[in-house]
Amino acid sequence: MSEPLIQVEGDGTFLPGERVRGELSGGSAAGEIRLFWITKGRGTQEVGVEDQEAVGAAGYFELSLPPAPYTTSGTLVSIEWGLEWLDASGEVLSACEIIVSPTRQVIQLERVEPEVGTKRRFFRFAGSS
Amino acid sequence: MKARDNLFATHRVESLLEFDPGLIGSVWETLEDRWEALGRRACVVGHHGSGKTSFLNSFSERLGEPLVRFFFSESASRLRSRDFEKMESGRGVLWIVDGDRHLAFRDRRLFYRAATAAGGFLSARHRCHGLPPLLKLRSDVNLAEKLYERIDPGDETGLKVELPKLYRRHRGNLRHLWLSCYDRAAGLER
Repeated sequence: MSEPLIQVEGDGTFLPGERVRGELSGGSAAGEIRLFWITKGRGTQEVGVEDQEAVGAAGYFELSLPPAPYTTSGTLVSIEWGLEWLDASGEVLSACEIIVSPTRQVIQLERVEPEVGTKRRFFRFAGSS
Repeated sequence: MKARDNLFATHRVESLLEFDPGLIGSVWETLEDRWEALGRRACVVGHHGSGKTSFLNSFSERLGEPLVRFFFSESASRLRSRDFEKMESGRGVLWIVDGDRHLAFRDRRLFYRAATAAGGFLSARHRCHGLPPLLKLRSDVNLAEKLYERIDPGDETGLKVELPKLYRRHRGNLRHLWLSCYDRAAGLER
């Protein structure tokens, strides 16, 4: 039997709110397919499972994307979208990445430079403004 | 450098640096025997960023038994409704606790009273405060260097040479050390 594989319809880019359709091949027609986003970067990792369905005998799936978040890439954090196919024990059989964005491209987060002269002042002397 | 490519991204560091008793000259079996010998009521002691939470995560996973997990801190020093629910549902099972000494006095008393019904109590603290220590953790620059090897084995970021200086700057807090390395690799800190 060939490797379990998730095949997504189209080029793997989606608009927020669209439906993600595809087909599973190479594994037993069992388990679950999940649509999720995940953060990567400096902070604690967060994960959101936005839709999921049991894998049917035909191996087709259709999942719904929410309006947000978008696929983004920045210096401090990235948000990635993906699909994963899990077997009955919860082991990941296959996974693939997709892009969710109004432009169908990864949103690049620009680096924000701190403003000059905005140092916090903890003390103020009498008479000073 | 983008977040997804940063070798010091938190999710990556956490997955690579799961607690390894070999790094402190011990083995899991010794720690498990000691845990049972202490009557399943003990604490893991160490300074900020010394690996207490990593130890709790790995140890509880290794024990593989039903448990309830509590997290307290300076900004979460009161028992919340979900804590009370866990205190109730956790009767007879293992309690894994982070930062119980941060609890306000009255809440702490309530918490410890409820904990007498737990099937085990393991707490991460800075000091023992009456609980026998299962493990005392203390980082040093050699440990930081060994862990660095796991995160950036080829010294791709070139930060290895700066590690002793950064370690001292963060006073042995390994969590802050890796964040500082993240910032440097991302060009956010010099």
